[in-house]
Amino acid sequence: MMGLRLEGLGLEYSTPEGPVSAFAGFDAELGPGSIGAIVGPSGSGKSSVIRVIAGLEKPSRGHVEIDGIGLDELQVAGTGSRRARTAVIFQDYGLLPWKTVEANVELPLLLSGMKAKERRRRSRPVLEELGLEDFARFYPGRLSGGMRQRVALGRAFAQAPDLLLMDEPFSSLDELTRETMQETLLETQSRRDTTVLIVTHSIDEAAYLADVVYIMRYHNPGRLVATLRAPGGIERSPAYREEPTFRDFANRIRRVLEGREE
Amino acid sequence: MKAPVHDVRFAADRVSRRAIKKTASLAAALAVIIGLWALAALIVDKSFLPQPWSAFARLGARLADGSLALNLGASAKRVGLALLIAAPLATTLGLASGRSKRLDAFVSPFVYLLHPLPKIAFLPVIMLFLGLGDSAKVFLIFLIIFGQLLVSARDAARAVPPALVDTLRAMGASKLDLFRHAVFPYALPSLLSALRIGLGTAVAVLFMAETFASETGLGWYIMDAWTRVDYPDMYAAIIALALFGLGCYLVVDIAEAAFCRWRDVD
Repeated sequence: MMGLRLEGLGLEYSTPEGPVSAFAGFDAELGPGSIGAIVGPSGSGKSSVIRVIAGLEKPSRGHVEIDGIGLDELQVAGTGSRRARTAVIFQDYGLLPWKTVEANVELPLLLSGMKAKERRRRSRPVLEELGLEDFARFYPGRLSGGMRQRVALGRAFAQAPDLLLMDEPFSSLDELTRETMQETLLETQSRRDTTVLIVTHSIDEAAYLADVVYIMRYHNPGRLVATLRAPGGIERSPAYREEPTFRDFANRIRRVLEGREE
Repeated sequence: MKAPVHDVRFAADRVSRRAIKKTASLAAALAVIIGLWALAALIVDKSFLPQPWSAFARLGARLADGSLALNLGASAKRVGLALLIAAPLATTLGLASGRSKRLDAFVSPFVYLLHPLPKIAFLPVIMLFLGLGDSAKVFLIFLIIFGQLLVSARDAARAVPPALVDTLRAMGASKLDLFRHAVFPYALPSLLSALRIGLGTAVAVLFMAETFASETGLGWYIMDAWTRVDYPDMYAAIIALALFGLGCYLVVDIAEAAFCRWRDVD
């Protein structure tokens, strides 16, 4: 199976007071080109799931497979392979303030040893696609939050990843910018058929973007309590946000989150 | 999906305007200082406080006949050499110990014990070990710059935002990549500030060191002029030392403008 597969995934941190479990028993299968969203209250371990898949934490239990290849194999295979396949966007965009927009977008390509000319050839179209070409020489400090998030998206897509992981990427944006960025994400994602896993605490965001919604709750440790599929045959557009199908799905997510429905 | 271009004043334009403004305010401050000096010389009316112009005239003459240049060169060489050795060592060790708990556990106790000590107090000891020549002075200045940079480098490396480190690690960055793209650029402004403070102290300590068993350097020249009761000469050398200190600041400022341009934006 291609895409992303998680099997009995769990993470424990070791602390001076002994091991603390962040989450346990996470099973998921996300088909290639689909969007998954993890929702849950703070402390339910949703960010930790992303960190494990990104290779920032070693899972204490279980297994991660990206396009049929295990995370261990991907990491052992060399430093180049994993970063080419997986891109990560964190909440605060993770832009380096001392690098221009262009240099930020090209950074993962630089780290993988790509020559300057080839880097430029790859970054140009992405900058244009995201409307950033006039800002290529700007430092991130001069950009608004929405623009910075665009740069982060550009950096992720310049890597041409098979899997894009996002940890509350739009949470510091205002409501309207946030919705615009969701559209931007959908457009860029569908053009490439990238598999996306996004962590969010916004019910509407999950209901709008995701094909599959994973709901986590804190049960000492955090656990996956339900996996909900988006209603079939929908077309995501700003108009969809006002349709009853969307509201029903969002309400269902809310009920499961609150424990009123399984 | 083209984003709107905001009203942007170009960075180069802003920087040059700022430079002009800064130069003008420095010139104004200098004029005030010289004015106060002239006034004080008028009121005191003693040979040990000559008028500024006689000191400046002597400075010009001494620069022309090369005698001040020789001593300025000797002082600059001592500071420059110490800086050249201290900066790479302190930066590397400081940044590394800021990022490695194991190394820090070894380095920090030494910093804690040795950093607050006034290095100048060790001048006699250093001279007993290294002799009366240049190496003792260079070593003393080295100690000062090294300590200042080490502490700043360590603290800055500790404060690198974890989100940036995570972002780079998720891209598969090696330890060296992390240093090159995150830790060093993050620490650079703090390192330059530390260098400014370190050089200021270094010039003061250099003056002290050069008054002991020296026959070159601005410190020696000032004391020598004092004992010769040649006050315009003494003031000329003090001005030269002040200009040297100012020059050090300027170099750091230029480095900051060149390498930390991204900080202009906030």
